[in-house]
Amino acid sequence: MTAALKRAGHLLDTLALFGLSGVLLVAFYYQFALGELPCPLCALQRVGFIVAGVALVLNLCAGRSPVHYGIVLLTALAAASASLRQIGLHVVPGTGSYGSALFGMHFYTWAFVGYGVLIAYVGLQLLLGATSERGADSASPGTPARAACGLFLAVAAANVVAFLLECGLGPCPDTPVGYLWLPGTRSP
Amino acid sequence: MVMVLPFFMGLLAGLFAIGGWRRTALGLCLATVAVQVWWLCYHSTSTLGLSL
Repeated sequence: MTAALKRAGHLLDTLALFGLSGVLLVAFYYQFALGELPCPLCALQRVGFIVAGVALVLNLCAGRSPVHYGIVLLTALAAASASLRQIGLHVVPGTGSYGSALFGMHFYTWAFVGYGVLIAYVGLQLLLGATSERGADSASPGTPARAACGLFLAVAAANVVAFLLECGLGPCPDTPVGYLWLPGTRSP
Repeated sequence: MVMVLPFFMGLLAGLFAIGGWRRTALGLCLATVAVQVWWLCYHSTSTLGLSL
């Protein structure tokens, strides 16, 4: 693989990791600023973005590898299934929806589109010739990549705290009405 | 059904990844996907809260 293609691959991974953090931050904005609590299926969709992000962190910190992209594919398929399940729950007219819409589509529909984009992204990376760069071939991540990894891990940690507050150490209710571990936030 | 579990495992995998523990991070990633699929099966086969 030429050095230019390798650099392009690293740059794309860095941008994709910033993008995943952005998606999770938008979800946080709707959760905390607009008070829209995530349901269990929404949570499973977020897990998909987090695991995909970890695979990209592995690419940036340990060298790119098709194995890491395989992880992205597996988690994207699982999370897309959760999105499809939620779309299916509300596709029949009169069955309502969950949460508000953004540019005309609900977040579970956007998430389904997002996983499609992720799968296409993996295809593009493999077309660019992503081969194993581990060992002497892998370069240490630059400042943008370090920033992307740091931001992503901070957002992932915030998700752990947010779901602990909302659901505690158990399952989330199908229609959450407040934070289990924050007294006074649960509506009757 | 601990909802926070896959989030915690994902965060741990990320920390291992950034720390250079590749194999551990990969193993945790796969375990997280397994939990994700397990939880998904649970929530996809539970009784619908809708009258269809």
